[in-house]
Amino acid sequence: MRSRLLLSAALAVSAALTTSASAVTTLNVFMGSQQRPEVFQPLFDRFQAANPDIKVKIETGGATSEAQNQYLTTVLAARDDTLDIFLIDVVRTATFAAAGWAEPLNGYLSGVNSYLGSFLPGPVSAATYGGKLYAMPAFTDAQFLYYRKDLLTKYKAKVPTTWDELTATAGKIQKGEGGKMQGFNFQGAPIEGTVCNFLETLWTGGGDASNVNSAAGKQGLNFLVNSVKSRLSPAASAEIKTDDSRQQFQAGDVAMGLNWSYAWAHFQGNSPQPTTVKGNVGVAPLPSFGKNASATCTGGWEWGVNAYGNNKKEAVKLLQFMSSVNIQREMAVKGAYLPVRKSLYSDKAVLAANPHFKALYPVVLKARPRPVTPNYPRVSEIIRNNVSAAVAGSKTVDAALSDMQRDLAPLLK
Amino acid sequence: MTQKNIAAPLPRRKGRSRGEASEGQLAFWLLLPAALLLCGVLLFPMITTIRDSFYFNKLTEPFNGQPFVGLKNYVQMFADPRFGTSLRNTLFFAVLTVGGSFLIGIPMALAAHTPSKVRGLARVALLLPWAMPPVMTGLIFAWLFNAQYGVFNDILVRLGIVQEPLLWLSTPGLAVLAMVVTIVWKTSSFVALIVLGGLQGIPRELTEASEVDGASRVQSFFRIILPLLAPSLAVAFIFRSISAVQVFDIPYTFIQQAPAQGLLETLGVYIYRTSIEFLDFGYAATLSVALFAVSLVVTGVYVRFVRDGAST
Repeated sequence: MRSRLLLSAALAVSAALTTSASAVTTLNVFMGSQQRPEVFQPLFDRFQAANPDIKVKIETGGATSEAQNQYLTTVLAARDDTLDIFLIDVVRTATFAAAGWAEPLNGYLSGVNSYLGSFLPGPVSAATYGGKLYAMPAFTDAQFLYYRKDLLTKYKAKVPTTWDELTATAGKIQKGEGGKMQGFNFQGAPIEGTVCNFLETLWTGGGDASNVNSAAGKQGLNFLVNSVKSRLSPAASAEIKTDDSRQQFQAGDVAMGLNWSYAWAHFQGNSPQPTTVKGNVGVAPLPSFGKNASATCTGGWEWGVNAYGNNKKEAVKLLQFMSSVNIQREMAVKGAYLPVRKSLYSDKAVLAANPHFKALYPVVLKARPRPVTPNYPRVSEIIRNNVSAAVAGSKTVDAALSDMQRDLAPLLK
Repeated sequence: MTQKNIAAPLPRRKGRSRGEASEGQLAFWLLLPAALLLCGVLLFPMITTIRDSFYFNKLTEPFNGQPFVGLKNYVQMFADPRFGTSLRNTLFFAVLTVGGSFLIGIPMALAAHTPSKVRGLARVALLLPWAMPPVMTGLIFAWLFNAQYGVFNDILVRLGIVQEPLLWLSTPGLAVLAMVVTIVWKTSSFVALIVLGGLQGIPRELTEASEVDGASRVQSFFRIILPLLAPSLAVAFIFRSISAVQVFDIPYTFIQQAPAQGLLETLGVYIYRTSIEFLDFGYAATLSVALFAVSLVVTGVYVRFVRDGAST
């Protein structure tokens, strides 16, 4: 009796849903408040105007990548179907794919390989797991070397292309300027930026996350640790987070520093804090060791489609719209988001609004994803804690690397 | 008043069985909502957690299903060095912070009790940390201990006690000290509030009498006040111990600033990481059962104390 009642109730509800769905489908899109929903709303409005049978609703929550992830974990572990699309950090692809939360998009995109051919390879490989595309790249990011053009001119130095050059040049500037001037600033706190700083110095030495206890690993971590020991970098580097780096550079206390693309707008004056470096900031690829190639981490965010959602076809339609040339151009011009499409890095309108994108192109083109594994949260924790401890001087470089190797091995096999 | 008290039981005795039955029924209906609520928010999650601890349930490996694995999670737990470390850390912090909160809390209560110029101030100071959410406390202290911008380093450097700023949060020993200071700051006021309640229940005649008899203030504190405070101290001790073994918020905020090589990770934090970050809900349930067992031991002491206290 009860089950029959439930059944008829369910039928009534689903009938009501289908009738309303045939009229208008509502797509619920989840994003963090820090992802600037106000930039996306007008774009969604345009999509709605072109597709009157689809409505898009933004749901915001969680100020940090971790808080948003915690929310999505709770919702998706309960197989909730109310969200259709979620904006996630690129490091989450594998976890969401393995858990069955993100719908593979290959079946929805005809000629998927040629479609993705015009995208940057970094964001696409970050969105790929087990040979399938589990998310649509929304906008990309990478770590860059920010330097002070005025100081390089003053000390008649060139932009460093190797880490040794950086040590020499930054040391010269630091000595000449004195006071609070830091030669080199990087992130050493237990955060994602630190994971990237280490991987970047590891990769350029030819190393890999699956073999950190190697010559390349030693060279990379030693470089970071020695920068602190020699006082080229602040003694408190082990506690410096991404936004600390940004603020210290913006205050004029840093000759050269590593950071993501968002720092640029702050340095130019689009920031809650005053800037003392406007017009004097240059951006370059990260230096390398000797003749090796430079390496940087892929950052950025991507759109996932809820595997439990009821409007997947419509959701993919919206994502294709969001990654179209026109919309990517508009996001770059209005929001300074780094486009996921290659052609836009030579686009007139984009370069007029963001002249520095031209210099960033070779960097984002070669950016590499962090290890793509469902166990990424553990992988990240192992790397960031050991690197931070080595930078703090509470662990030797050798101990940090062998501990990392021991704990990473079962996760990355 | 007295007449009423004598008169009242009489009619009840007449209709004893009926009266008690209806009174029992009333009690039943009055208690029912609370009992249901307790079952819903306590008993049900507790039973499911214990059940989950015997199952494999990794959200990152849905292809493995959620099979019954018997004691496998428990075997894994006892072989897991991180479980041992976090349990040791939990007990270590419990001993230090419970002890510390008494060392600070009792003098605070005395300052708030004894009539003096600072009494008003002491009473405000006593309530403030208690009313502050623990997460906020953790964040504020993490800032105070920050190597570059922190107040503590600024004071130490200005006084010339240290030349270079200390890396409070990334030097393991200092990070432990910083966290103990923070938790003691936050929890001393709880001890002080309970002890203050106890102090106010001690008749003044007793201390006055001892002073008339020539006892010094120290003597009257140790010989008169402290023994009479014993029940309040015991209650404060037990409640502090239970919350100390379950501590999560302050270590969690600290650990985001400073891993300190796992020294700050309590069992509560490890459970959070295992479930919400690593998505291993089966093993997290097993760890939760272990934490439950530890809390149960402490609660057992409390129940025994209350029963003994009631019988004497």
